[in-house]
Amino acid sequence: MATVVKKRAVTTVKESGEWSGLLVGIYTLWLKHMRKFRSSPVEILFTLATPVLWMLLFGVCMTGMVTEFQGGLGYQAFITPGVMLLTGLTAAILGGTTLLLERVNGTLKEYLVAPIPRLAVLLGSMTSGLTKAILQAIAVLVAGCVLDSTLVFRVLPFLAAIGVVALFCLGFVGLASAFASQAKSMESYHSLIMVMNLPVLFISNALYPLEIMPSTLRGLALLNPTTYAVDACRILLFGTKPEIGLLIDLVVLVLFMFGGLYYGYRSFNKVMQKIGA
Amino acid sequence: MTTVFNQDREGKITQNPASHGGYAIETKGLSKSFDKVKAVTSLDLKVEEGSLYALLGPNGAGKTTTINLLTTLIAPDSGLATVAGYNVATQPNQVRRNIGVTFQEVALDRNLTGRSLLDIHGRLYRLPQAEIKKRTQQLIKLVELEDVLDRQVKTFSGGMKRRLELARGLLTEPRILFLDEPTVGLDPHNRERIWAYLQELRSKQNITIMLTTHYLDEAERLADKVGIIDEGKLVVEGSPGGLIASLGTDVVKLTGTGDIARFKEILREQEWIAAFRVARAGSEEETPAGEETSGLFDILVNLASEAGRSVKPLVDLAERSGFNVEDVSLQRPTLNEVFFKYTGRRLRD
Ligand SMILES: Nc1ncnc2c1ncn2[C@@H]1O[C@H](COP(=O)(O)OP(=O)(O)OP(=O)(O)O)[C@@H](O)[C@H]1O
Ligand SMILES: [Mg+2]
Repeated sequence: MATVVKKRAVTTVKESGEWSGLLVGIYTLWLKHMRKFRSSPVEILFTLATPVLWMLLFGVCMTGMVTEFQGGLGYQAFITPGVMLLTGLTAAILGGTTLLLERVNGTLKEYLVAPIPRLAVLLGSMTSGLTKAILQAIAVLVAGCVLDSTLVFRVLPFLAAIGVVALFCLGFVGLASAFASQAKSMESYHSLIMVMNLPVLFISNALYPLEIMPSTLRGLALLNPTTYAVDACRILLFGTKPEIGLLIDLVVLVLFMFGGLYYGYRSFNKVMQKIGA
Repeated sequence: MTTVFNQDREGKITQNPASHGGYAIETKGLSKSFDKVKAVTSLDLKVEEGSLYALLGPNGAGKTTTINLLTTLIAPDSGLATVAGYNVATQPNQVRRNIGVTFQEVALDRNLTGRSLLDIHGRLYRLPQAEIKKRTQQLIKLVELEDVLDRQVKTFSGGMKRRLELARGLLTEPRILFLDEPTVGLDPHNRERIWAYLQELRSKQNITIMLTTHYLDEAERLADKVGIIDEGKLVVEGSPGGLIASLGTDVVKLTGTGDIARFKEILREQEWIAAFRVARAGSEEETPAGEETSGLFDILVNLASEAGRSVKPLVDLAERSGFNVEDVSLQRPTLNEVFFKYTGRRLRD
């Protein structure tokens, strides 16, 4: 009995009807994550607390020190894009935590034996992570409008800025999923996030313009996708003079998004293959 | 060429669920190892449609791994397995549509309410909302969770979680239900209820159930067929009654003191004695030869014929051999004895 078992690719979607299975799966898991999100005010508060504290404490203090930016922009308005992106980033990473938690505590098994492609499990947690990220980015944007009169609400620029946040967050959702697929434990995942969070904010133009940075720091900042996202948001929201340029920003962000998503997909696949599924 | 032919033939068996030989689950040479541990080795199983099959085995025997393979959670290293007529390795989606599973360890999302959890499960299987609501109502009554259904799962007790999982496994009305130690942690009342329900379920619809358990009484009462596995291999398989019958008839337990070594010699010479073992009184663990020095011992004797006519001769034989019998009791052999015979280990229940 030398039967050969064909190794099936984990997430190929080839049979007809699989596509609808994929969509049903993604939607259902998204719905589940959103229900949990809604029923846990702590998670919402926690993710909103950091950025609001940034806006209030850091923003208010610095406003006194920083003389006005180009075009009469207040400092709180100036840091709004950065804080908004940081919030989105935190939410994206918490989305990764969900995947990790479900993997560690066994909840994932229910979905792995359900008639949905395994890709749906990944995409379900990615889309819910993205949704949370965007909801919170919007909250920060609104807070920015309230706190700083130089940030004026206009529909199209706001939508465009949210689009930029989405690109940025998707990239990080991908990275977070990759780490969540591989991390051995909750602790290792968290320490990684602590390490990642701060440089993403500080080594960028989120809190100060590129031109006043020392040149080495500026070089590093140019390796950080946050810089491009912040630049794009400022251009879109305030029409400020570009530090880099909208086109370059968007190209970099799209590349970052695809890179992150692909990396997340590959890591997830590898883990699924390892459990031999 | 020959391999291709083989594969073709197997392909045909699996691609045509209607014409397969009435087996809900069938495996041939199924194997899976984790690094160096051979969890399942060349397993051949056949589970008839509509039957209840109980997998028994000591800890680490490979029961859960077998279930994981059959439910497409993990993929086999080699061998073939079909569930509901579909190949688990190549047609996992069809398999998944036809099965319900409860895992050994609780796998529930702690932050959902019971109702929401069932709803999400139903949606994954594309049940219409009305149907989900209807079945939830029925099942929840069965597992007696009406009062807590709208609470978050993390506030459930262990047994409540177990019962919620069972309801979830049944929600999609699967053709084949896999239950990995379904009644672990349940109080006797709920165990009885679950048993009763499983039996009722089987009488009403043609559902096939494969369960693993450490409770031998459970297997004995529920199962049509029992498979005992040890170290990843199927050691013996059969109906509970048949397996018990294969042990010979009844077991006579003689408790007493005396010259055990001599008595054992004499017992071995008797044709009407199928098997026996010696254990320190009350311990049930077989005592190695040579250590039977002093104290009270149990001698468990499997008779080759009906006990009724052999108890007296046995007692006489003992007395004559220098073993002072203090107590005699008759035990009907249970799966416990079968289990012991084939694995050399004893399960407690
Ligand atoms: N993911 C894994 N990685 C490594 N080894 C594993 C894994 N899963 C199971 N094993 C090993 O495979 C063997 C069979 O395990 P399995 O869980 O199937 O046993 P079981 O019969 O279900 O036992 P129990 O009665 O304790 O539930 C054990 O030796 C176990 O250590
Ligand atoms: Mg087990």
